[in-house]
Amino acid sequence: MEQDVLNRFEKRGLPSAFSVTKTGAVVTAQGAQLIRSEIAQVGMIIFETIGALGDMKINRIEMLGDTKGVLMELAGEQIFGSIFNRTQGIVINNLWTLLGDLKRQSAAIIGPAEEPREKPKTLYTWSTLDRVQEIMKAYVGDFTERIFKNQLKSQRLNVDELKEEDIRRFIGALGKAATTIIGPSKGREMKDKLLKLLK
Amino acid sequence: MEALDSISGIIGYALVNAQDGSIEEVKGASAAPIGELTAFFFSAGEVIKNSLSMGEIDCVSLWYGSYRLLILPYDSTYIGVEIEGDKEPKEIIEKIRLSEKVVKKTKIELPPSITSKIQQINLLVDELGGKEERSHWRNLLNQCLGILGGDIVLYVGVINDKLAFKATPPKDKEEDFVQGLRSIIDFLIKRAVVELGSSEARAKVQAVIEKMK
Repeated sequence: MEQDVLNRFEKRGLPSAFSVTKTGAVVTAQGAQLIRSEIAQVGMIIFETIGALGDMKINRIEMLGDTKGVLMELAGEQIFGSIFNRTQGIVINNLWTLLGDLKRQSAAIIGPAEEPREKPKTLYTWSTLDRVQEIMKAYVGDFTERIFKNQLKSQRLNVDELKEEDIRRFIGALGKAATTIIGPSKGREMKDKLLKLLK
Repeated sequence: MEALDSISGIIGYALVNAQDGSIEEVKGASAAPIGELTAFFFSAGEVIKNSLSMGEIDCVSLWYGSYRLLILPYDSTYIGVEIEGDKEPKEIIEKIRLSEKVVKKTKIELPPSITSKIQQINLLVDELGGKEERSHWRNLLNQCLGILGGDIVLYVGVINDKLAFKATPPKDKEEDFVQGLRSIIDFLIKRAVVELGSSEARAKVQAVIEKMK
C-alpha cells in the first residue's frame, strides 16, 4: 500500500520518493528501487545523529550537494524523503509541498510509526497550560509571561492538539530557560513540578 | 567572522572546525545547541553525500520548532547559522558568503524608547562586568535575549562588544520590543543582586542612571 502511495507521488513530481523507519525498513517508489540500501544507510545515519542530540526534535532536513539533493520529513521513528537531481528548473519548495502531502497521506493510511494505534496518546487542554503558567510564576515571577510566550512560539506548540510528547518537550524548554534566570537547581525543581502535571 | 554579527535575521551562529569537528565558536541568542547541531549534521551530510553521490555539499538545513539552521562550508570551517524557519535564506546566504568583504551598511532608525533601553543595557553590562567579568555578563545578556527577547533576536546582536540593532525594527513591534528590553534590564539587575549583593548592585545601577542623565 505504502509503495503505491510513493509511486503516485513520484508521478506527481516527487523524484525517488522513499520512506525509512528507525528499524531500517525501507519502502521506495519505482525511481529509488536501485538505491534501497543507500537509503537504509541514510536513515540509520539520521536516526543515530538525532539520537546523539537527546531530546531535540528535528522536523525537516535538506541536504544540497553539487549534483543532487535530498529532502527529509521526520515523523517520529519514520522518515519520508525524496532524492532529486539539481537540474535547472527544479523548485525545491514545490518538492517540500509534495513531501508534506506524502507525510500526511501516509500517516492517514498506515498511522505514524511512533504512535501504535493500540496506545493512543493523551490530549491536553489550555487548562494544563494555565497550570504551567501558575507554577512558573512561583519560580520566575514577572518573567513568566515572556518566557512562556516565547517558548510557545519557538517550540511551535499546537495548542489545538496538545499531545503529551509535545508538552513534555515544551516543559523541557521552559526548564532550560528558567535555569538561566533562577539557576540550575531551582530550574530543575520547576521542571519536575511541571512534569507532574502530565497524567 | 565578526561580519556575521551585523547581518540581520541571524539569531545565532556557530563555527565548527572542518578537520576535527570541534566547535570553535558559538555566538548570539540561540537557545538551541547550534554548535552540536552544526558539527553532527555536517558530518552526517559528508557520509550521506558519498552514499548518494551528491557531489560536494553546498548547504545543509535543519528545521526545529520555529527555527532553521543553515550549515554552510566556509574555507576550513562549517558555519551553522540559525534563522527564522519560514524565512527564505537566499539573501542571508549571499551576505554570509560575502561577509569577508564589506557588508553593506544600512541606515537604522530607532525610536527613542528603544534607543534608551539599548543604551541602558550596554551601560549596565559595562558597569557590572568591568574589565574582568565583561564576557560573563555579555554571555548572560545573550542568554536572556534568547529567553526574554522574543522576535527582537532577529534584529539585534552584539556588534563590537555592544548590543546594537542590525536592522530597523517594524513599527508594530515597538511596544513588544520595549517590553522585551525592559525584561532584560530587570533580569540583569536581579542577577546583579544575586551575584554582587544588594548594596554593590544598587551602586552600579545608580552609576548607570547617572550616566543616562
